Amino acid sequence: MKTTIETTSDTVKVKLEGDLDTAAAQETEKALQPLYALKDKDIVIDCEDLNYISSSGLRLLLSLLKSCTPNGNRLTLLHLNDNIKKVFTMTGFSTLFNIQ
Amino acid sequence: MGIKTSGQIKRTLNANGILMLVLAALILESISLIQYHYAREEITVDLHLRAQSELLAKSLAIQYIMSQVESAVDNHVWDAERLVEWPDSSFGVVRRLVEQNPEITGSALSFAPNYYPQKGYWFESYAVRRDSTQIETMQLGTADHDYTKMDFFLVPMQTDSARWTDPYLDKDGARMMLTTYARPIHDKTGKAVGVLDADLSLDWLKNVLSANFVYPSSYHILISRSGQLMSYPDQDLVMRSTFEDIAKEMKDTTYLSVNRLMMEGKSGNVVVKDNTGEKYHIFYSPVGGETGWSLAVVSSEKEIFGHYNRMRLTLLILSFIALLVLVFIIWRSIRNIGRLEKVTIERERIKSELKVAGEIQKGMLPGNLSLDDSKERIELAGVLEPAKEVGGDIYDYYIKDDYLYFCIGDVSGKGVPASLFMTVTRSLFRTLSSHTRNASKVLQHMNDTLADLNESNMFVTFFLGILDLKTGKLIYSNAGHDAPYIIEDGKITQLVVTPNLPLGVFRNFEFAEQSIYLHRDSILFLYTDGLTEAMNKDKQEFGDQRLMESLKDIIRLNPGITAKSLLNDITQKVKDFVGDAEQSDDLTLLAIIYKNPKTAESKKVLKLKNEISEIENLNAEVEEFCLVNNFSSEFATELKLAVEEAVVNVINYAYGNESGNIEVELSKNGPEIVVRIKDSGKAFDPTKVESPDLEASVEERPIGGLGLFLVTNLTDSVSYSREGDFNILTLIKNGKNKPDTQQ
Repeated sequence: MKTTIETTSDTVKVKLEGDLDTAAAQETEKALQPLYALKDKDIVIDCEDLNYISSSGLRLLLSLLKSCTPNGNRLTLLHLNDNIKKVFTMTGFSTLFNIQ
Repeated sequence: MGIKTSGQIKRTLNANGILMLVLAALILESISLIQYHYAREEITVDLHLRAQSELLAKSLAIQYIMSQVESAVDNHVWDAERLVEWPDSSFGVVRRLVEQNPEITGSALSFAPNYYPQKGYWFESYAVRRDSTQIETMQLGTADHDYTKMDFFLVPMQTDSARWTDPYLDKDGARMMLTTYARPIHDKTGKAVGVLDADLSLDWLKNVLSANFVYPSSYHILISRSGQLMSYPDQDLVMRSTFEDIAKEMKDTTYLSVNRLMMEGKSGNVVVKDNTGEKYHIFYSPVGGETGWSLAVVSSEKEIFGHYNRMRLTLLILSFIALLVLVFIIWRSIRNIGRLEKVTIERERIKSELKVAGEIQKGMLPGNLSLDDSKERIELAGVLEPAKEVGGDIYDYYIKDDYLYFCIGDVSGKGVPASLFMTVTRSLFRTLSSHTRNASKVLQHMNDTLADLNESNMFVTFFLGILDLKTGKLIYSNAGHDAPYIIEDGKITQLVVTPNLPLGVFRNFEFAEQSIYLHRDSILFLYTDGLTEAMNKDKQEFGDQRLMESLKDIIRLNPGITAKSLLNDITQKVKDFVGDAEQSDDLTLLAIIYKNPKTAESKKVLKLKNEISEIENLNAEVEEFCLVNNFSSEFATELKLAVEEAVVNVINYAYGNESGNIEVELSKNGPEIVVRIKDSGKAFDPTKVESPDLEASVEERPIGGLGLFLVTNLTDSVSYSREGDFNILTLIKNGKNKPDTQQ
């Protein structure tokens, strides 16, 4: 599992690559910590190379989403693959997130 | 070798050219000379004939006229001798002679001195024609006109023979050239007593001599016995000079000898040069009869051979022009050879460069060495036979992180442009595929780049595959390439592929991606249309049908065939089909045999500790179990997620902070996979956990509680039982409910 964060003036681009299983969720959570301190930013998570996600991964994303509104950030998910989309639909996450 | 030879050719041709020129010139000149020689001889023979006949004709004409005078005089000798005793009758004799012979201008009968004493010392009766009707007679002999001392009298008297005198000019101012024929007369005793003569005007000579010249500017020289000029081009010299006088003024002494020979009455011909160096041919011959004259005809060599000399000059000019043309032709062929040489060198250079390019292209093909550490899992063989030195076909593969990346492609067109495009395509494949296992994404990037670069409207059909060597999962995406064949358990089918579009045609095209799972010993056979479109002499194509049959034959005869042998056999079949026909297109084949060392177990037991770090291994095992048992990847992913969530739940809650064991048993049961998760932790029935509220807003939504919900929703059945000290959770997922991507 690999996490890359790229910051520009008002956009933060996050790239997730690999399998976001329960084991990987712990390190990914650490990697995403800086995002909680952001204010008034567009956070875009590119999931093009994210193959797999488990519930711990979903928890991570939900937790991040919850932090966005009070901080004035907007979160967008990009390029979910079919498997992940299915999980999002199944769990109702597709209505919570802005998915493109 | 070719370059040397053309150089040698040029040098040889140069030498040959010069030799040919010299030879041609020599031959032309020799022909000209031989012709000139023979023609000269001909002309000379002709000249002799003409000159001699001319001399003869003129002499005869002169003799004829003069013989008339001779006869006239001879005929009157009798008359004169009959009347010799009557001096005055002599006037009648000469009058009659003149009367009867119109050519005779005058006649005299001259007697020896004192022959008639009564008449005095001299007695010469003379008749002269004053005009056409009147003839006058008179006695001419006086002291002033002492005929007895004149040649015309003296010579006949002394020799007692007839004689023509040298020509002379009439003293009476007629300026008439005359000659006199004189003949002695005798008395009854036979003693010469006088001379009867007749004067002949030589005016007719001009007419006789002017007719029928050998050549227009030829002229005659007529000389008398004493060498006096009687006919000569310069009228002023006639009767005033001798031929000897003229000869003396000439540098060429031949003139003098000609004069001598003519005076001696000889015939002959000679070539002389005048003082300007011009050559003349002189033919001379005596006129004959009693005249003692000699006639010569003189012709200028310029005129004799002039016509032929002009002809020869024309011939020489023509020869020279012919030589020039020959020179031009040889020069041009030498120059053309030069050009040919340049073209040949250029062609050799391109050929050797193409050869090098071909080697470079061959060098781009992947070697088998790169697969050394994956031999037990994969076997590969590739063939690329370009129709020309370089080709537009491509195949490539490499292994990275237990994934095999491979491709096959065919660039539109052939030769150098196609090969360049192919090189770019290969680089893009290598660069882009190394960053992702998303086949469609690789194709999209390749397509965009090629479309951007593509100003020559080329395109490439391309098939890209990414094979997970651990599981046999093959992700592939196709760009307008022929569908590969897949051979499994002796069955041959064409892989189901979405055609999409060739690369380089349109930007931003979205390529569909597909996947299947390769079984143990599955063979993937990829090819370019150089195989199916290989043509024999009758323009028939090898075709899909023949390919399918060939594959069937090969597999039936060799069930455990290697990738290399498969390609060899196919190549041989195509070669047999094509025969002697020329290879029309690049031919590329790629065979991949997936040799998953793991057998498809229908049951597997995994023993885990209650640690999160076990999850990665668990997931891999679950997925592989599904795949080797021929379930779809979608199925595998879903079951993997369900099992992970169930196991994570056990890890997190069953043992508290204690360590413990978890056993996961996977088993295949027909279309289903059954998963038994066993732990010895505290009793807990996850099926009793309530589902989360899926309608809740972000704020209301709890962070957790999704795990067991996913387990239930991703499987067909979840059941819990407590058996002794063990919690047993059984998950069942049916693979038939979902459409299988592998068809």
